[in-house]
Amino acid sequence: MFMLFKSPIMSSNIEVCKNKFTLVDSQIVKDDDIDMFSFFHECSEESDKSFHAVIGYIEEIIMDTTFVEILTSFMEKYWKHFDSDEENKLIYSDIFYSYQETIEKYIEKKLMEKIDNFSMKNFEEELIERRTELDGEIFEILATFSDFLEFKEMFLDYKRMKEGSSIDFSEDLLVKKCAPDTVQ
Amino acid sequence: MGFLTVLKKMKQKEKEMRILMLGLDNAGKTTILKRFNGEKIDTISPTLGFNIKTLEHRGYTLNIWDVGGQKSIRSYWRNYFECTDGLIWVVDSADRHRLEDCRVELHQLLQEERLSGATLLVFANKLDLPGALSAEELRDV
Repeated sequence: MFMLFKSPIMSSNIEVCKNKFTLVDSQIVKDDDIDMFSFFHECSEESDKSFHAVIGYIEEIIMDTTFVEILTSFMEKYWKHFDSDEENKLIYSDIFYSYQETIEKYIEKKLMEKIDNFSMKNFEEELIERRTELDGEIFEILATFSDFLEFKEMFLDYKRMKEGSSIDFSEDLLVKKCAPDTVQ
Repeated sequence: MGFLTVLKKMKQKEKEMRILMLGLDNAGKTTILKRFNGEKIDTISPTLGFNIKTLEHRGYTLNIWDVGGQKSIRSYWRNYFECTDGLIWVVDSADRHRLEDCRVELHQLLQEERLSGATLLVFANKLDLPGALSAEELRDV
């Protein structure tokens, strides 16, 4: 018989997907054992599938208008705290944590609606296991949610937009007291 | 810590580090940061919030976080511990009156679990001032 190191069952390690098992005494592998190979292979494909399904759902969730609305209402609530000074106020950090929490909670809630028994904890473990595979636009977008400087810039953009959209007449109007003899 | 933080950690480049710079007020944290970054240092006022600078050095990207050191805002320091790779503790070597204060604050930080993986550098600043303690004397404190 043969032995497998690093028990690949249900593991989602990329090495396993490629079927790179370490075999000891592989000469006496029988036909039955070949079936075991394909069984392991299916398992890892299965976990691959479910991981990619979650990523696909996350993509859908953040592209959805409801998500944009949530971000907008968040910015609407806090934009007045921000200004373009180089030094950051301590409150930015509190707002930043609450921002990440809002996004995480929302995505988690939506995933739980879409997937039975969805567990964020398992998903986090998957992310750690697949750290070398996390390339692509979706991961870039998700990473910006936890980048403080991107977050500040987003608020400053929003602030500029808010302040630009309400026209300020105060500098165009001149209020002057007229001397009595000029009013006739 | 949510999944976004997990993801960020996984995506962090190998040669990228987060450095947290702390110390009592008036130690010179912001001045050090700006000087490193090649900026003017003649108009620096006490930091009430925090500054962030990204520096490239020997192929490493350093994200340096400098948080104000006034007593009233030291309780906010803990908001910045997460994901810190290195801690720079800045000491005003000429401020003998507050050395004890300085020691106590640093020891409190060293108890922090979230900083336990970070490397510590004690930066003895203002050594050129008259009456400043030498680096050796500071070490003994």
